Amino acid sequence: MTNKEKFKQLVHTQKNDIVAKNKARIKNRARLRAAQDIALKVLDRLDDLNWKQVDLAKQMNVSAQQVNKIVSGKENLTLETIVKLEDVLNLSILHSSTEKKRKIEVTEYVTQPVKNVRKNLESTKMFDLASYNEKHRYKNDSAETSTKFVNAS
Amino acid sequence: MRIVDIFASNKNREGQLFSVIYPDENGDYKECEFERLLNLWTNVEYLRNYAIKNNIKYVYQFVKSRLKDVERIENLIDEIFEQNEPLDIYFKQLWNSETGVKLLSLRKGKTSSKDGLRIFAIKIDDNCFLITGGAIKMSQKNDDHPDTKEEMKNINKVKHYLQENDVFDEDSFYELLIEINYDE
Repeated sequence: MTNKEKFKQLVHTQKNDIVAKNKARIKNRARLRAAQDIALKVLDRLDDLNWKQVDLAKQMNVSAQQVNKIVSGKENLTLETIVKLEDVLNLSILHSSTEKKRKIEVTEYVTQPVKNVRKNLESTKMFDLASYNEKHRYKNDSAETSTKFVNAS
Repeated sequence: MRIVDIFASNKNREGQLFSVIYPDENGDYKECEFERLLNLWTNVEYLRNYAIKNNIKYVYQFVKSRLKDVERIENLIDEIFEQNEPLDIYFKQLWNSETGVKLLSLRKGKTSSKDGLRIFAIKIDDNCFLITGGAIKMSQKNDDHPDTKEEMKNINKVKHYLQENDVFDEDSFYELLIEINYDE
């Protein structure tokens, strides 16, 4: 009997779904990351308030187990729970990282130097609306529109 | 102690990656070590408390980094399972000084040089590994932190368990030596 065969005799036939669970975690990664971020925010806030998880459970009128699931960062939170958390902890949760990112993008656009804006507008003059409309068989009122467009810039 | 086949759900992959299940305080066998570790390392509260307990300066960064490490492990295990990649790409020699063929070689699972998580395993055969446990890597030497030190005890206990059960008894040892000499 080979070494591996001897080893296999020690293996228990207990079934497991580890591979399936692993796949599920990968599939739900975006949601899990959001839950993890929320868990970190909640734990930090509890520290700030000097609250225990039991205190939060009481304030939210949920079980301690429910709070424990929230701070584990694995729970698929409902909107109701998130709103409750925001209210009780006076914490912004729905203002997620994606919203922050969008805010940064908008700020950058608004605050970009005026000369860049002008440069962009000048480059739009290169666009020949009349030819475009003709090519795509749009109603032929483009000549007037095109002139207005250039003048406006 | 019990041993389960992690890849048992697929007939083409079974017999490659195994994990130990240690009995809980009631003597029941529930989660295997691999599953227990992934559950623990994806638990934000656990990671945050661990960082605080170990006097980590940047707790938030520590938690985020370990969560990223787990994702890498998940990806790698899935890739190995789906694409039948060799397990040796993950399980490296535990002792850097170890060279050549070694019976029941002790291994550490490490996705990259930045990986702060370690899964410990014993190499049973070619592309056949038994996970014995794991820990968050907190010190250069495993004996310098209580968690990794405990895992070193566990890996050696499992090794002795295998030897007691004739995995690598003397005959197998000589069989292997003969094979090696024959190959040469």
